[in-house]
Amino acid sequence: MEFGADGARWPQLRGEAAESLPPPPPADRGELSSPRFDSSRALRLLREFGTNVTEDLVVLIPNLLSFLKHDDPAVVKQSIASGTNLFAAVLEEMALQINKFGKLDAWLEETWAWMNKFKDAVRGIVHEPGPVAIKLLALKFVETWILCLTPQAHSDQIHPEGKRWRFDTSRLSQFHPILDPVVLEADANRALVLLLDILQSAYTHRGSFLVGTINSLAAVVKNRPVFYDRVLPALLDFDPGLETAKGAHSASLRYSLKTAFLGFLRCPHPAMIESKDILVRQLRALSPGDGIELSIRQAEKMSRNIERASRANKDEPPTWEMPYGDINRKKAAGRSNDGLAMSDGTAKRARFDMSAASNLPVLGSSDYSGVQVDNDANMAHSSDQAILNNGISPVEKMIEMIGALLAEGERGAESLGILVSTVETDVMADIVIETMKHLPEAPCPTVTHNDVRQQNFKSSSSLAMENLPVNSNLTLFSQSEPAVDSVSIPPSDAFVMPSVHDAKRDPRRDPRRLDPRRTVSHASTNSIQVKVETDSVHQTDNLPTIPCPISGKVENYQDPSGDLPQSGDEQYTSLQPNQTVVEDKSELPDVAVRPEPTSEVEAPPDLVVHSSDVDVEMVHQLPSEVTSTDEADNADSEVDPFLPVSAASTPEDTNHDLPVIPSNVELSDKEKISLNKLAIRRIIDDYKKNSLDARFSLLAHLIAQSAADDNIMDLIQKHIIFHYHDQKGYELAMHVLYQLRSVDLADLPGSCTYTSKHYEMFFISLARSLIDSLPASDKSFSKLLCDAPYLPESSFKLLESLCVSEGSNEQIKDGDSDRVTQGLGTVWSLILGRPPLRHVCLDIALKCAVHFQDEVRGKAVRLVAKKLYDLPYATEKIEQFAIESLVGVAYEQGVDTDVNLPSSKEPAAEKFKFDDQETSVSASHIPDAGYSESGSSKASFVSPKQSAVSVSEAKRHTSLFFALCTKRPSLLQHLFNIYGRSPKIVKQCIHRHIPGLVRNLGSSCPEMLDIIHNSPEGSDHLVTLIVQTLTEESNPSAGIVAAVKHLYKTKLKDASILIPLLSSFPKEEVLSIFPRLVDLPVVKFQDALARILQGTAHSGPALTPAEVLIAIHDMTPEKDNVALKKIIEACTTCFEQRTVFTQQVLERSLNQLVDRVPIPVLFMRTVIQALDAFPALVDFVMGILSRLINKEIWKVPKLWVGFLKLVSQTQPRSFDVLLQLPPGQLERVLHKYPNLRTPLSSFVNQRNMQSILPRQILQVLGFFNEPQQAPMSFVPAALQTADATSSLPGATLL
Amino acid sequence: MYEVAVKAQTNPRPESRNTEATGQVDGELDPYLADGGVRQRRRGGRMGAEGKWRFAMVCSSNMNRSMEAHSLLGRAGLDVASYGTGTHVKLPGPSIHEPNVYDFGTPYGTIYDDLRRKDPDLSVLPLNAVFPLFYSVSASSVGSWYKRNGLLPMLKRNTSVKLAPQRWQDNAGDGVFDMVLTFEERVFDLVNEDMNNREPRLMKSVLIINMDVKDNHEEAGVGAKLALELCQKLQVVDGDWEEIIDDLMIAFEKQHKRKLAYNISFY
Repeated sequence: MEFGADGARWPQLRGEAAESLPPPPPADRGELSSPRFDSSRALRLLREFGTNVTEDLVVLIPNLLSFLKHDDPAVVKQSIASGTNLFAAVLEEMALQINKFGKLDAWLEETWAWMNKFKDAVRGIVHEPGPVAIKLLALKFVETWILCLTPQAHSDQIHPEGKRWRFDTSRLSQFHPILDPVVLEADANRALVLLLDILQSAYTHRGSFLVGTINSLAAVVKNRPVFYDRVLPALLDFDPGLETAKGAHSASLRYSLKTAFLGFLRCPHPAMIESKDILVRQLRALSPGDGIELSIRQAEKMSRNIERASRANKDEPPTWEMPYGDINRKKAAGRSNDGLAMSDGTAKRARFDMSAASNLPVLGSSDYSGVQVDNDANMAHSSDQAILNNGISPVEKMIEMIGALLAEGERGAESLGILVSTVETDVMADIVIETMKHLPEAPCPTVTHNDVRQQNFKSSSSLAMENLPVNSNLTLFSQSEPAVDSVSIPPSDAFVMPSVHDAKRDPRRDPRRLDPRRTVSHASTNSIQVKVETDSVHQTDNLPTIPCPISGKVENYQDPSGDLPQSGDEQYTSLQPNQTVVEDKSELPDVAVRPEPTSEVEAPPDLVVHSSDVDVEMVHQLPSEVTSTDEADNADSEVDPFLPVSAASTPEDTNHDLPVIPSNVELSDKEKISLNKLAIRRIIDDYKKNSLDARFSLLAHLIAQSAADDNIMDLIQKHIIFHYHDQKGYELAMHVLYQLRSVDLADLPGSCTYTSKHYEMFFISLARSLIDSLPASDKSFSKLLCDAPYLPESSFKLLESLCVSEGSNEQIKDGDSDRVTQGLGTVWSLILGRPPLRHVCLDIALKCAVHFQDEVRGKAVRLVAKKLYDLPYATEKIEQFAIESLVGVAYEQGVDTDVNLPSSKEPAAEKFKFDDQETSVSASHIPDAGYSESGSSKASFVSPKQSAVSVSEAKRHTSLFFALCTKRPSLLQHLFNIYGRSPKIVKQCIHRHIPGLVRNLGSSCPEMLDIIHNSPEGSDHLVTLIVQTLTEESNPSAGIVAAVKHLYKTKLKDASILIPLLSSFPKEEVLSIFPRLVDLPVVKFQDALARILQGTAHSGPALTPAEVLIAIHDMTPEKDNVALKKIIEACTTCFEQRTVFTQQVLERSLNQLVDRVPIPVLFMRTVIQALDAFPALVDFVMGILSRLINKEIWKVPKLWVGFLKLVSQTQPRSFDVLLQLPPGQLERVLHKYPNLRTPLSSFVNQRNMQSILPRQILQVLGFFNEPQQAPMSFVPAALQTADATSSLPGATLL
Repeated sequence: MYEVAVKAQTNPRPESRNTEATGQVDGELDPYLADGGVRQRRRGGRMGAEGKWRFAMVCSSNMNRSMEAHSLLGRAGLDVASYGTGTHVKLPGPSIHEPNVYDFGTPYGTIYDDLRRKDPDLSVLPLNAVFPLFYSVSASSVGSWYKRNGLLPMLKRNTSVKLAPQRWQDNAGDGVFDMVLTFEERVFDLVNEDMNNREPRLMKSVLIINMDVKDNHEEAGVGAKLALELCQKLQVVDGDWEEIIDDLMIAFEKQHKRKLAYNISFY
């Protein structure tokens, strides 16, 4: 390779970079994003980064890194893009050099170092919040990184030549420390964890980022099936429908998952073929439909073909499998057992896979041990063997690898941690045994952990205590280490290099944290965990100080304990079923207590393990560990791990192993309690820091023991409340409650009262402080009540007082209304969640529903009517209660259903029955109790009781009933029954409620129509009210019309009931009842008139205004049984509405009326009124008058009077008409109104009418006597005055 | 349906006349020399020029849906290309088992002529059973069968947009698109798969969106309008589309009651 030969390719760049950026020391690279590189220059520079790896890179590559921090996102993107390509290219170049020369040029090494820095920086980008576009590119980089640093499995099969990935570690044919496959793979593992991490915290990311992540994971697995077992569970766990904080398009997430799974399904890798069923199931769940079935079928066909092809090739298995044939076979065996369920089998398999995976890199390193020899003398023998043997066993390879890693120093330590954590227990044991062969003769000078501790215990504790530490040692050992993968590993992982890698490792970056196998491996070590737990719990019953060493321990091992929360859950669940066992054992007599201070003194020496010692120590340490832990493990693995029974048997075994405790120290109760207190405090303090959920049951036991002590209870309560929100407090509370309760039940015959009192006290005070300390909107109180093992009597009192917000008697503060909601909400959830308590809670709700405070009542009524009433078991009771309450308030003086519910129930019911009878009997005695305008006539009937019921009382007792009526209209019957007899106040209350209720029910509610049909005595007003309400906004339905008509015809002869319906009545019907309407009080008639004229939308008004007037005039007092006065009033009413009864209307109706025979009595009156209202009608009226003359009006005396009045009023306009009268009549007129004579004469003179008028007329006017009587001059004045008066005719009329 | 379903693809009977025709055409014309093709080439090299997105519309045969969208987007002034992902261009023939099959690259004009030439008088067949959709549109109207079912007008339209149908998988050289819109999930799958098989070099992200659109005239028109709206929305995005794509998808779905899915791939 001609390195640097074509450096001239970027001459100007080179110069630029060289002058501005001499290869900088790593320390000040942060300053590199100097202002000299604006975006365009930076982009230009970056685009020049090809995949050509030359010496120039050393100069240029720092820019790449610095651009990652550039202000312009485009530069950052381009930087990552270029880096991604470069990464592979650099690796490729390095591989070439190594394979060719066995060594690397210095510049290439430096470039690689820069590349690693770049890698870390990009990793940081993925981790930290930032623009998604950049993060997506960073993901792509991580993907490349993984693919480059892991060996291509069977490159020849999948990728044809030319399409292969740029680089993978399988292309390294020689070993070089810089490109150590083990280290590289560990690095790749870290990168994978980074990706898996994203899925775990999916809800914080954008959907697009998640899509990118899933795509990358799918791509990684497709190319490196080794990762399949780690990626699949993560993808299966991923919920595409999740609601992320920043929004995600779930269909797209689902699609990318689907694509990933389909890709797996098409992949010929054995692991994927085995999990086919799961994939298919998942795919169907993701996108049900034909499309997916088709894809599945295609994929299956594809994989079958591949399988067949590979079976044909079986004779010559692919080379990559060769050295690990045994492991792979094992793996296959493990797989055949079950699917991917989280069972022991998976655990095993996962480990097998991992060991296979981690073994793989050794493949190409047949002679790297030569290098190792220099570094690590201890390893020489094994490496030699490795070189010699072709069929190296996995154990030897592992040893080799460990050696290689140790030689790496710090870097290696990290990888070693990963490696060790993934090694299967059997293999680990073998490794240890193998290395033991080469132990030096002399005993190892360094003391192992266990020894240190045991010695410490021995030396510091008194003789009497001597045995205990051993016991507790075991406990704390496993208590503090359960996070580590398998039992054989903890010692090696945590003890070998606590200072090296624990100090370095950020627990969040711990690759194992998210490793799906972790949960699995817990399951596999379950048997041991259970043992440990039973031990510890067992002891806590008797040895309250146990937590002390634990906490001491935890302080020493902060890091591993950071892992605990997860495992805590695990332990907890595994513990549950064993609890009974534990309690049985608590009978054991050993109440041994160790003074707690010792533990603190003891712990520190553990830490003194230096990194320099590590490589030497490790090998020597392991054996000593194995003797203790490995035995347990072996014992375990002999028992069928799939049988949970083994879990039960092991504890027994281990218990036998424990030394018998020779003597005990008796402590006084007081001492015990104070110790308890100390212990609890320590645990609490501890998990405040570390949040160790695992301690819940421990705490609960301790608390149960010291329940008598108020201080402790206070302490624990405060703690619970304080932590309620992160759920820890809640869980602890539940633990404590259950513990107290179980103690309670267990001791039932003996100390029942004692402990149950504690339970109650604890529960109540906890509940109370929950109410006090948390806002009303908080659901914790409700949850506590729902989940608690048992609710003591007093809790209901508490609940009730919360519901009615007691304590603030008169006024309700703002916060209290929320409290009421909270209380009622709790009642509701209790009714749903705790069936045995239904009735108690229902009673509380009902009590609240008649509470005197509006706020409380309103909310309770809503709860009862809307929710509880629908529950089948509550309906009857609620109904009964509501009816009783209503009846009570109607018939009783002071109803007190609210206070003592049970006692008031019976009498109220009885009275109700009694009154019912009375109603039917006495109905005949009160015939006219029917209708009264405001219910006042009833008032006399019930007046003695009236004072007893206040408005608020009435409201209080009726609101629930009304709320229920909406749901069940048949209840209305009760209302009608009591209405007639209830006091005024109650009636008013009912009146207030009815419109809303009726509106809710609608006009077609059959029950209501029924009631209207046969409304009980005394409920007329109610019926009217209902009918009014129903017709207020919409047209009455046919049903209601029929019902009301029926009522009108049968019982209620009051036409006012029909008024609301008038608009929908046809003309004939209106006319038939018209007299009755006129007979109504004026106000009602007005109403009726309005409705008649209004009509319905589709039929128009029943009568036109003109028809109304005619109808009024057509009535006669004799025929229609209506007083004339009423008819006159009706007329007046019409005239009042001048916008309806317009001039035209009047003209039309008068025109018709004048032709009636006989002319209606009121006709003249109406004409006068019409003229009064519309003076412009005067001409029309003159016409009418003429017609009247033709009809010989003088023959009808009543009308004649009116006629004369009108004539007199309308002079001089009426003179023409007057002159039409026969002379006899004219004379009578002039006789009656003598002052008409002069104007009339002058009118005749002025018009020169003497010639046309008949002689008799002229005679009557007296023209023949004094022909020149009227001088011309005064006529105009007379005319003028006449005109003036005619405009005000009403002034003299009537 | 214009593009015959997957089932039909397995039909072993090829249309001999068609292949003849396409064979001729292939020799004579390079589809990329059409107007659209040239334009695409010229811009292909540039990576999403400032503010201006490059869109690709992809359906199965590059005939109806993608072309309708291509036409509309082009008229709206967007930088757009269109492709099909099928193995062949398939158009309805006299029966569901006898589709008209052409190779990608056969100019629309050639297909037009070919169809006109062999337009059968299909009145004998129970057409409404075979092509209920087309038949129902204009069963009574006069004119040729292919005209009636809209094939010829469609081809006429296509000739005005570009020269010949192009296959997505064979045109990786067309350069970088910012967004690829597919009109069918199967097409979406194929585009994604194809993108995954390409080796990413530029590390330039591309947004691939699927919007299911039924393969008929009316729906293609509706789909094209939606496509235009979607593309315009994307083009005016301020900043990285990666930030808002989820919200945009959700909002678009809600507004138009359409199901969408997107994926991200890299050039």
